[in-house]
Amino acid sequence: MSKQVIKVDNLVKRYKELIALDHFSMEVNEGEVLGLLGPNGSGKSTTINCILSLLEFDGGDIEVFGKEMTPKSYDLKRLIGVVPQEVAVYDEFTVYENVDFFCGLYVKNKDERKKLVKEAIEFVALQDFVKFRPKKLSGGLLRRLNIACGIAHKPKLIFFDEPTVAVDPQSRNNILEGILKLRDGGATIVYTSHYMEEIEQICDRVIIMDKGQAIASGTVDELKGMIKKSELIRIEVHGVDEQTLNKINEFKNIYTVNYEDDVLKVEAGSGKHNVIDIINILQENGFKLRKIFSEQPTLNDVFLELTGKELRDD
Amino acid sequence: MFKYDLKKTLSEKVFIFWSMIFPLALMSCFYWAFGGIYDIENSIDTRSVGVIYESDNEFATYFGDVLEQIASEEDAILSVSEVTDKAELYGLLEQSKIDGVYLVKEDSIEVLMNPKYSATDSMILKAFGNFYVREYDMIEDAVTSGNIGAVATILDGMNEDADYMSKEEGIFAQAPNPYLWYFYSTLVMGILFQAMSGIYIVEQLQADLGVRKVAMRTSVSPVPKSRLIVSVYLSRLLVALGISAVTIILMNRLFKVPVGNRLPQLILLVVAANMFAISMGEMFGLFFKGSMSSRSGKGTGVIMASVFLSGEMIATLPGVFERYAPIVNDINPATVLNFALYRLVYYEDLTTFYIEIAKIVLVTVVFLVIATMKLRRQKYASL
Repeated sequence: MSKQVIKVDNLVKRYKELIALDHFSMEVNEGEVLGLLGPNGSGKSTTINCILSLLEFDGGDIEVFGKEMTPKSYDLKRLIGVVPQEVAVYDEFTVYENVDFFCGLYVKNKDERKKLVKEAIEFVALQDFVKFRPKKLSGGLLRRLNIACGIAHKPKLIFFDEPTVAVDPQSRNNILEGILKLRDGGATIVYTSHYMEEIEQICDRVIIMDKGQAIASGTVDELKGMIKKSELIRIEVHGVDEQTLNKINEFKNIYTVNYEDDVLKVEAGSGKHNVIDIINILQENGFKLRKIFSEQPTLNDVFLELTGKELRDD
Repeated sequence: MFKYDLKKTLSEKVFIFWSMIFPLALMSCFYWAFGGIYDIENSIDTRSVGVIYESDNEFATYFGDVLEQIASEEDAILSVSEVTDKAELYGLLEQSKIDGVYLVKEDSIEVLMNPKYSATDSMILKAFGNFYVREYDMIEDAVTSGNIGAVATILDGMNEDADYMSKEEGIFAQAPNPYLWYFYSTLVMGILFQAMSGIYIVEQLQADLGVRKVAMRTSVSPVPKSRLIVSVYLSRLLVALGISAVTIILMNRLFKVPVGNRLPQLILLVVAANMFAISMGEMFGLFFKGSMSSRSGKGTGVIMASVFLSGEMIATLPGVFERYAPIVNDINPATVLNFALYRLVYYEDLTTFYIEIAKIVLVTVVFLVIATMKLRRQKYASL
């Protein structure tokens, strides 16, 4: 059984009348990427800030590496790296100086630090920009610098708080690949996002949060298995009649059938032959098919089914 | 860490602008605008005086000798009128043909001035008279006690510091030289603008205030907050002192504004003033509400008000307060610092100067304790 790195038990955080965390509990195991998924305001960043002992909280217990986390737990803080949601670097320093400054808060030995800074800069592929100041960097490069500042001291536990907000797709992929490399290198990672695709791509385990509570947790497949719908089939086809639609509806895995503007939408449960069964019946009745799409359920569907609302409002 | 804090402070050009460039630009304006009227060089030009002897003892005779000696020097600060008749001298004084009259008595010297002369003129003539009386007394005591070595020491001392006022007086007993007052106010204004640096310290260290969450990053690091506070404070103080030193040197060299020759006391004043300004800025950052730019704006407003009330634009304003509401001068940091600087340059007795410095240091310590307690806070209600 893998070692527990973080244990949060019944965490409660209130902002006056608003309950930001409502008896929230979670555990993070050594060497895994745990995703905290939820809409804006669901309590993801608040959870991280409480674990980091930055925020006062109203109830509950937090343990990191088996010890109580307090503001003066300097031995624990030495093992932790943070990549905050906002780019947190000094405009007055160059890329190299920023990484060196933040690494210097953890590593005193100059030679060792020099090596670590070089490795961090190479890790985020900023070698060509070491003398640039942050204002000269694009959004994606800034995010990479933000990451380098948080990981240069080789922490065993790293918090990534929405590190890909406002980042172009290429930089986003680089960041996600980098996070997996860190995990493969032995780091434990807590990753928050409201982008379900990212969570699906990199997280070993996911906790879905809403209104300060954990509404579901498990692997991505386990979460998807929690919901009724498992496949959305869309077929562009002209003139399907009522009788054919009823036949499709009679299959045992089919939940809903909707035909509008020459597009047939079918929500189906798990089963290997859903698409082929529907295609067969349409062709048997002489309909000519134009395009066929099959979409697997997403974490958004999971969230939608659990809460009745969309994960992303943007 | 300190190296980077220093580098960060040095790269913030805004402080160099407000604490050095802006004050020097203002000083240039004063210099060009008022230089013809209040030329400092003129303020130590030769003053013509008359002397009326009401006694013919050694005290009076030596005074005459000393005056004659001074008047014969090149670039003499005094010239002595040939006229000795009392009524005639009063007439010349009335007509502003001479600057003052020394009334030499048994063991004291009184100075009569035309009321329309400036405080500086008055200061110089009084200072000379007082200086003579004091030195004569000391030499007389030494001779009476047979201590010839002491006489030599006193005579050496006489050659060193003859420019200070020997007796402590309220600065606004007579209006100070407005030209100098503007310069000193402007210098003090530059120092007080280091309060902006204090506001930046708060932003840099308090995780719930930074526009960019750098403070959050430093807060979760294994470096104790107290070390972060000391490092950032010292780096900012060091840069502030450098800025003040350059400003004072340029003020003295470019605009010929006297800063006296008491370097240790001047350094003490500048260090205390800068420490006060930075810690005051920390108070602004911690206790004003709103965004950081809003806090900076309010801080700037307080500094400008303080500097204005200290006579930056109307040199006689502190004199009015001194007469009707002295508390305003007592609690206004710009006025207190102006007083201290003026006393340092023009007064021999520095008792009040040290009291002013002690007040500044005391308030600074209180501010620093409060700021450190607040900034050492590790947890926040919200971020």
